[in-house]
Amino acid sequence: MIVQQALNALQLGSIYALIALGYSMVYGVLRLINFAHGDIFMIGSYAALFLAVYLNMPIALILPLAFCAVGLLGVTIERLAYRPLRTAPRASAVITALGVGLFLETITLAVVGPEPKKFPALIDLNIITIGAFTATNIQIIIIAVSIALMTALDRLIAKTKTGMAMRALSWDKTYAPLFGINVDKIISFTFAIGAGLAAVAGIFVGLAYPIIDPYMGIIVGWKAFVSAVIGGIGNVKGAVVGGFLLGAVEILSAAFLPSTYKDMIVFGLLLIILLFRPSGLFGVPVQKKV
Amino acid sequence: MGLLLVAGFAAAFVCDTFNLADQYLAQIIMYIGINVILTVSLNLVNGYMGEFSVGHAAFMAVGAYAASFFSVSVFPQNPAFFPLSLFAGGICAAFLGFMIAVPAFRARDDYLAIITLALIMITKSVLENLPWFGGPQGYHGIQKYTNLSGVYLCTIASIMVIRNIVYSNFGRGIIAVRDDEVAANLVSVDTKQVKILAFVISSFFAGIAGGLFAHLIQFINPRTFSILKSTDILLMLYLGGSGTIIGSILGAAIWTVLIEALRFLGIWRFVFAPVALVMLMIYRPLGIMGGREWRLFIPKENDHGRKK
Amino acid sequence: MIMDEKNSTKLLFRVNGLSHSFGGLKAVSNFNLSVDSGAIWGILGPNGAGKTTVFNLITGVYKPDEGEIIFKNEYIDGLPSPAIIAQGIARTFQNIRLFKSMSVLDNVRTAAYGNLSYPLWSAVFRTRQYHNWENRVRGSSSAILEKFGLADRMHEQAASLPYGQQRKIELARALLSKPELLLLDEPGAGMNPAELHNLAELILWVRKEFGVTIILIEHRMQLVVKLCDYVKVLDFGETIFDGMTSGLGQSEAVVKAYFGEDQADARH
Repeated sequence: MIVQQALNALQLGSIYALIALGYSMVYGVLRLINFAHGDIFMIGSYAALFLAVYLNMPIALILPLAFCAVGLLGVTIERLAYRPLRTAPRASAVITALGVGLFLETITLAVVGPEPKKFPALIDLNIITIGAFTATNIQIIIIAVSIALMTALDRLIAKTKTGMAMRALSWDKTYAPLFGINVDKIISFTFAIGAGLAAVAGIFVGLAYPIIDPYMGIIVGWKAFVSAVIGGIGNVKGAVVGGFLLGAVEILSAAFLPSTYKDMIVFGLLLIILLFRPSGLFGVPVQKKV
Repeated sequence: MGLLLVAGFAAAFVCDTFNLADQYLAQIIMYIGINVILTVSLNLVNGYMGEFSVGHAAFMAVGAYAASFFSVSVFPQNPAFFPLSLFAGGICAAFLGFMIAVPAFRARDDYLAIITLALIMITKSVLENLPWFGGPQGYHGIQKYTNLSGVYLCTIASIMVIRNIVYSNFGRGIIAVRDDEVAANLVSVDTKQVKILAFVISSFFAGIAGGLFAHLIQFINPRTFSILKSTDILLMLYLGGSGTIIGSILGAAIWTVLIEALRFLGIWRFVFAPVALVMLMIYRPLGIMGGREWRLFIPKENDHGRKK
Repeated sequence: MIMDEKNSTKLLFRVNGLSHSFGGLKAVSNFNLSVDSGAIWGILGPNGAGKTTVFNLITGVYKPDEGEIIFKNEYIDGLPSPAIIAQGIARTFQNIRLFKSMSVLDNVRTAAYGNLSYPLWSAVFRTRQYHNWENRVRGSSSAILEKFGLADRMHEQAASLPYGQQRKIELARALLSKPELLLLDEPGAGMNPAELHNLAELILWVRKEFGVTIILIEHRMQLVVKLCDYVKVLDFGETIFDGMTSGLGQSEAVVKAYFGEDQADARH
């Protein structure tokens, strides 16, 4: 029972963490809260649904294809909507992000309709039992693939030149270009990875909780955002820890309280953590400059 | 000017008493009034003070629920008590604003956005779980007390109050926080006090708007006050141009009318609206008014005919 | 050379053993200063010597790690900035910090916030109390701007004025609260020699006209020698000179730091 709940928490946490990474990375390089990110995740779910139902693709093809397609969407959004506003007042950029999110939501609503859709069973459900320990293969796949992706991302940021440039850019926006860093390219790359990971999360949500609708991006997206903030927005490790923490808290609260209390608990947790650690668990406190 | 205001009230009053206005038209006008109150009050925090709050829907919700509670359960069922219920709703919202403002203005810029976001979610969840207000099914039995003259009075009052605050010592403190908070502190502006004050006033008027709204549509539920409601108010504010009163009024009026006028487009109007907003932000980041105020809203003693 | 505090009957301001570090990096260590009423003090030192940090500690932007700050016989260290300003200290900034969207007049009268004497509802209902106070502040603000020769530009947007005038607006803003101690952070930053000369005249005039005691930060010898009665020279966080400006030339350490080893040797 406890093991099952732990697996549930890990599964939910993986999904939050994958989305939270996008919030955090974009915040790192642009200092922008990308309010459209939750809806990008929703688009990921629908993209997978389309590939599966209309093109009859298997999951092994859907994952990379959706990753790339939605990644491209992320790059396009940045190119068209955010890039012209890089030097504009912060509020304009945030409002634009809200606008883009709303656009993704409403256009999905207009095209596919508001009614929830059943996500196809891309993987045959198997229950694995080892002694008292039971898990579904879907759970295992979600957790394993998520952890693999996160490890890959961590390596990418720590070891590659692009990763180094990303870190430089989030450290100091003004001077990074002086060291030959192509800021536009790095920002595009960050959006591509962030959106791609959100698409993977979208597919996982479809596999694990197989009903999707155009509004799913709002609540799941916000919770992933909370994960990023709890971990310390702008910090990649923080986003992952925040995601798993939030998954655990949610599963735990659902075990003891009616489900209507879920949001209260999650956002209450956010308030409490921010009260004591304003920069999140892994964030660096900002020293005001005079 | 004073004469015009009185004439406006007289017109609203006559329309109310003799039921002159077309029902639908009156409804739209009242929506515009309520949206103006919401936008002008959010403007104080997001425009003049340059912070970024997304919590207006929560304060509106508290105002709506509290005012409804007072008018349904506390006071006798009589429109004469409606102003009191409204005021009580505003006070409740202002109190919540105070509770939030004290911890919210502690750290970096995005802090307020994040905290007010959490506030919306928590408010909605609390309202869903409280047994007294009908939970997720919503609050029933609210009388239709909101009428044209009521909305008119509240709208004019909120515009006047916010104008008078902006063009006062407090207002200069608020704008100083936006322009340079550190410098403001070092020329004796108690920025902590200024921020809390602005936020509480802003919340109060959001609460009033919520009360009017509840007694206009007569049925409210927690979902009415979701993040989407806040987004709407933000859109109206930045559409007109933040930091000016005329911008708030125009933004609220244009948005409300446009959404109604484009009804024939169905869902697609909500697809085009955000695209238009993004375009506006890119090509005119300061909104329709571009930061210019109407002379009408600048008190005589502050008006030097200067171009801003 | 070091001023004898006991003989001073009009000590206005004193700093004892002030220290502050940023995450392990010591910006100011054991800084001491005693300022008499009416004096002009200069704090001289290269960039990064922690001069601005001293001002930030005095005005409550940062809380000092150690040390005490005494103004008019009262401890002011640890107070919030507005409270410190209200005691009678005002300052300007190295890179001018005006309220950009405000008019010149509004910039100056914002500094009256601290001695506010009407409640919020008085502003809302535009009571007599509101009008009286606002008229008084408006009067004193325009009087100060008049003195600085800015009266005719009062209603222009502050950020649209030329650099020199922006400096003056900042000074006027600082002086509105009738401070006894004025802290000027590199007032001559970005000025050419001719402008520096005018600035020196302006500062001397400010002392006379407004009766303030002044501490100013500089990294150039020229202005300090011209203006200051006393000077404190910092080098790598250490005080290498502290006393009457006239004694600067006799200090080997100062000559070494400012004119290089050669000149110091040549003197012997």
